[in-house]
Amino acid sequence: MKVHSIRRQLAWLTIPPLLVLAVCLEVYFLHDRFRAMDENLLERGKLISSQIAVSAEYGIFSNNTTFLQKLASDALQQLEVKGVIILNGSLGTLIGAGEFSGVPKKSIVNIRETSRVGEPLRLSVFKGVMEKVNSHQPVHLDLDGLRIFHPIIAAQVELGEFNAEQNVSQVGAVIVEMSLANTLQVKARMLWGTILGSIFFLVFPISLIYLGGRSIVIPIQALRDAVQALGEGDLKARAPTSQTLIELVTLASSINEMAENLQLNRQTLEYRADAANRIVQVIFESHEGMIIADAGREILWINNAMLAMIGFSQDEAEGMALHQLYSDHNDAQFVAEVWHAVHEHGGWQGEIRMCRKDGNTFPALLNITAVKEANLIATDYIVTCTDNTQRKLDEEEI
Amino acid sequence: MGGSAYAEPLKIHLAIIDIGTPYQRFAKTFKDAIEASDVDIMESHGVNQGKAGLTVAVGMHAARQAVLQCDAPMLLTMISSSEYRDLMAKDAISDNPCGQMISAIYLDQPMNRTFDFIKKILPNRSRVGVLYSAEENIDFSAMRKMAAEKGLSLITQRVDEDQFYSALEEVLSASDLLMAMPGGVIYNSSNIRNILLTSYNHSVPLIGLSKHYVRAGALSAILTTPEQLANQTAEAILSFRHKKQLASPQYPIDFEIKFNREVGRSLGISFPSKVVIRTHLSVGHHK
Repeated sequence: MKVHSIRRQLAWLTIPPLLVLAVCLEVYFLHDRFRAMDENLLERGKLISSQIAVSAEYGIFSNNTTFLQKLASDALQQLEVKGVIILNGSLGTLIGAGEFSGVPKKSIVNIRETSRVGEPLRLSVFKGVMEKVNSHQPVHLDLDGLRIFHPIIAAQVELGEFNAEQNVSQVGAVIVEMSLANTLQVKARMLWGTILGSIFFLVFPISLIYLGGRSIVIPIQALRDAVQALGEGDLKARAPTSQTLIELVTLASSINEMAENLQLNRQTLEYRADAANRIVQVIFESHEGMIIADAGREILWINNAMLAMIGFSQDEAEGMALHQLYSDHNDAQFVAEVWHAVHEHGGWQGEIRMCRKDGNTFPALLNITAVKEANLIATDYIVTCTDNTQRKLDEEEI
Repeated sequence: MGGSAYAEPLKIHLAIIDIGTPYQRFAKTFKDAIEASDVDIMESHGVNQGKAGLTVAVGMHAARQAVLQCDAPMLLTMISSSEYRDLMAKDAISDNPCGQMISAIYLDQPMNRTFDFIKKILPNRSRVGVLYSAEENIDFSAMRKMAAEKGLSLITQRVDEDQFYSALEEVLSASDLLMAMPGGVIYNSSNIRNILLTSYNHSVPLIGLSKHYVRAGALSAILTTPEQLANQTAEAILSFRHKKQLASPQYPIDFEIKFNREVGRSLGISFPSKVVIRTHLSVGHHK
């Protein structure tokens, strides 16, 4: 399992959701705003073309291209209006003003200069524009611009109660090209503004998370240091309790309480160990031989009196099996009975023949006591040994 | 009562195809006027299903349909004199013996009444401009003669397709006033605004054909209402009931005058009293 620091864990838990949320909100907001801007541009274009259509009706009726040219030029003053074409009833071009994507401006000017006043311009250059937008496809949007076709319908005035037939006819059309440059500029500005805003939106909470993390991490680090020191044996180390988080204060208090208990227990143990050492020292210096063996009957500890009895050094003796100290003169069955008694009754006392390093044997009074756990299994054996040679000699003399 | 000449009441078929308000007004007034007489009315919006002693076709649509299956004397009303002439000029009608049984009460005013009206409200303007289309069948020689008798001269200008404005300019530049003619080809709801704008530019007033012309900006109009036509039609039917034959086509007897005083003021024209005008206008039957 991969291990992370708290700070990294906090970052993983908070930053990705924030980032996803910020990006989703940005995308939604921008998409909505961009769509509204496109719709707004379209509505403006429709409104402008509709206004031109209403105003141009009489100009088309009277074939007054000067008036229509003025009308188109005035429309070009409007923000985002790039070009205006006014068509007559048979959709022949009457006038063209401004610029159109795909139509060089120079060609419009040249044609206008060579046309006579009052004559419809034979602007075949606009053919491409009119192929893009017409009555069947009144709106055309591409990267070059937005083109809107608006038919000019004669204003209807009801005439006569008996003249019920309405003669609604299209007397011309207006094509307006709206520039996307301004919209794109505003969109770009909005995009950057949103990105910067989002960065701020991200940096601010991340800073808060960082600072908030510090207020958690630093006390936890102090706790960690205290626990580490305690683990390394420095029981005087204490966790700081001057925290603002109640959980950490409780944790620090508990650790400190535990440390105090450990320290107290340690002192008790040290005291007891000192006492035990003193006892052991006395035992060590005792005239009576003493051996402590483990469950496998290997010698763990042996005192000087015993070493003197058997003639081994301490290094040689420690690790030896107890049975190596028995003389071969002892009956094997007898030895088995001895250990059976130890296991059965917890101890045995009696005389047994021991063997020295030099091979000599001597009679010894042994007292074997089994140290048992709660489950009655022996973990250690304490053996006291007294050289019984002199006593035997004295008995023989008597 | 002359009705005693008939064993049964006279059954008339009232054919109205158009559903506009004027036709409803006509029908209501007509029924009210004929109610007390010994005449049964079978009203329909299309082809006559039963046998009738007389068919009254109201409006041009009803007239066109009625003349195709004429099986009884027929009185056409709420159609213009030119429309009636066009209808009668068609071979199918003129060759049909039932053509002899057709008469009409026109919607438009007799020319001499219109000229009198013009003379009365615009005494200083004598050149009357008239626009017409190639499709219209207008007897200009008779009109010119009638105008000359009233001290007016007729400036006529044919309007060809796509040359409307130049024709309008031409007639306006040579006229003191523009007189609208019934038909709908020249004057219609789509171009009346432009015609009026152009006529204002030339300070030439337009004499319209209905109160709607006046409301749109014509200087004045002389017109007959559906109620007036309905009453005249009812009288013609009662006459047919007695005489067993229809009178010759006739123009409306009664009429109304409408002025647009705002237009008059802007053109510097003051109107005489309508009562005074009426007393000077021709009232009567004109074929």
